[in-house]
Amino acid sequence: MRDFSYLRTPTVFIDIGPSVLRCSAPGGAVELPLERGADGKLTPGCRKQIVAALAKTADRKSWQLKTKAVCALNASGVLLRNVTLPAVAKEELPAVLHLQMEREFPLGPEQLAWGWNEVSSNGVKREVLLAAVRKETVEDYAAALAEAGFQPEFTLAGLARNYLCPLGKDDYAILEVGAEQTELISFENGAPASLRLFPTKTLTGEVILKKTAVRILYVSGTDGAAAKLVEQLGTTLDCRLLVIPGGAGESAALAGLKKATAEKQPLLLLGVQPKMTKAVWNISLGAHRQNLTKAAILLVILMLFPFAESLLLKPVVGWKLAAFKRHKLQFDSVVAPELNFFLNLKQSQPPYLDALYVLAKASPPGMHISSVTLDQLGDIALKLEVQNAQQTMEFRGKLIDSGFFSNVSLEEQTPVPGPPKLNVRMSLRWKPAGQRPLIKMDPEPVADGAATPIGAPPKM
Amino acid sequence: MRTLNDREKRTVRYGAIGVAIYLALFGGVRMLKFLNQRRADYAQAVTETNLLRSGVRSDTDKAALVKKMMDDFQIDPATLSTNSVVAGASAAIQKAIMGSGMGLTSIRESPGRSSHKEIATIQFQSAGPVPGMVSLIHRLPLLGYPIVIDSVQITADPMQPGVVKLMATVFVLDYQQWINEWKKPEASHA
Repeated sequence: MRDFSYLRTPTVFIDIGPSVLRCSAPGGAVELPLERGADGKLTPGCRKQIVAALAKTADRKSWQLKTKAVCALNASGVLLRNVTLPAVAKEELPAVLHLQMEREFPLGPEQLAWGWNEVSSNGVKREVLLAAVRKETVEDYAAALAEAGFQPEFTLAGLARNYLCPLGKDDYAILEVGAEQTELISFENGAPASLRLFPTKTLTGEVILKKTAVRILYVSGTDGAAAKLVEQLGTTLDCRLLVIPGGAGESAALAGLKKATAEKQPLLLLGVQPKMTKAVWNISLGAHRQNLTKAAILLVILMLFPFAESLLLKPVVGWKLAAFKRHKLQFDSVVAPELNFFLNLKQSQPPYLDALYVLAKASPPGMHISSVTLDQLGDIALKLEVQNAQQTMEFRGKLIDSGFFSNVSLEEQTPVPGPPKLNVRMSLRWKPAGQRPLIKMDPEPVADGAATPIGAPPKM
Repeated sequence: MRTLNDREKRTVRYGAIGVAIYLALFGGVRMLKFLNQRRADYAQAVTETNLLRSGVRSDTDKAALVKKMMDDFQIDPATLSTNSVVAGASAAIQKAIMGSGMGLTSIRESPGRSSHKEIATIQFQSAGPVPGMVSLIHRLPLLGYPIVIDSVQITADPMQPGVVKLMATVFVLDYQQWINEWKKPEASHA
């Protein structure tokens, strides 16, 4: 399988607080102040600055996939519920959760960005933590992050900080001391029980003790207020300071997110689909405009190439064509008739010598050929003198067996007065070219005394 | 000249755009037709050139074959003049008879059959040994003239053992008539 890792960029972690946004990327951490309008949403100016700064932080090439951003939301507007559900099949769980959402929260599930996490389960029931926030709040962040080139996922900062605490069944709480707001989340038997938010300026040890009944308190914060609070409560509670690795621009939530991601811990994700804004599309188009222009020019050249070829190369081809035509004309007027003439002359040459050779070879000893007449059509007339009829039969048989002649006929055979001799007249015809065998004449005649020298003309 | 108001300017602008679109479409279609025609002509020329190129290769082979047959028959068609070819052929035959060790008894020339593209027929009689007769038959077509042996009669001489009489009829082809006959169909095709 091919490795497409070069298309991906490292995950970025973002902590979205009430007045500050912290982003931890491989290139470094940044801290951006947030300005909100009366409705709690980011002001346009602030949003523009955030998008620009985060896009720079992402350091993503235009051809790469969007950077995954795991975002931790502060507790503002967040509702937490622990609910007990009957043990249902996995396919039915979304419907049951939907019903629970409608019952537990003042707004419908369609108006909320919500998620759930299983706390415990047995064969009969299942305890589930539900978390929800107004959909508009998350959508605002999601759109800005998508515009900056991120693919965001949202969870709760309080739950993220919990990953820094030693996991156990004891009841404890985590206090995040911010510049303006302080966030307190309590855990009972390891599960989130409550989430509260109050102004930092009213934060004192007594207030903390009133708001929580746990005996272990983890405190985090970016300034000295957290350490001061630990000192105040150290005598009453088991108060522990959460050490944040990394330094400036980092937070406990970011550290928790990194740890959870590294250990592949399940995060409670709030379901929101980011909107694809027009600006994002324009930016992508702009980045590819030069390449698109080149591709379009190449396409046009490709389409025009056949026409340009015909216009430019037509004279060259015409010149070649004229040269070939001249050559053909010359060939047809000179070489072609000569070739035809010679072929005809060659085919018109009768195989007289071949026929004489076969006749000589077929002649039995003692036979005398008086005359031979051959014509161009292949008709042959023979006058022979033989000693007996047996020689005639032998001669005739050899002629037929040679395969060179057809229509070998004995026209007349008459005895001659005096010595035992017969006069014979025969007629035959050589076969057409292609039907008769090719004759290979022996180069050397045999020694004298042989009845019929091979390769020599017949005796006359 | 009166200044056009905005409405008139807009009307003129729309009209100009319409005319421009019409001209672009009309001219574009005509240009496309022209280019397509040029392209089709070019493709046809390329196909024809390729065909002729492959024909030239076979023509080269044919020319080599003609050269070989010219060497085999020892005939140069450029020297085959109608006026002198019969005389030349007759003289060459007589020389061949002498050269083969045969003796020429008689020779007779007569006009050939033009329907068979023959310019003359030559009949001759000669006598001599059998090897000379064979040699003569072998040499007759290779004398440098378009000669075809029509018929041959070989008779043994009972008075002289080992000597045969050869009576042959040959005809001389009319090369010019042949060429003219060949070119006629070409001319009619053209």
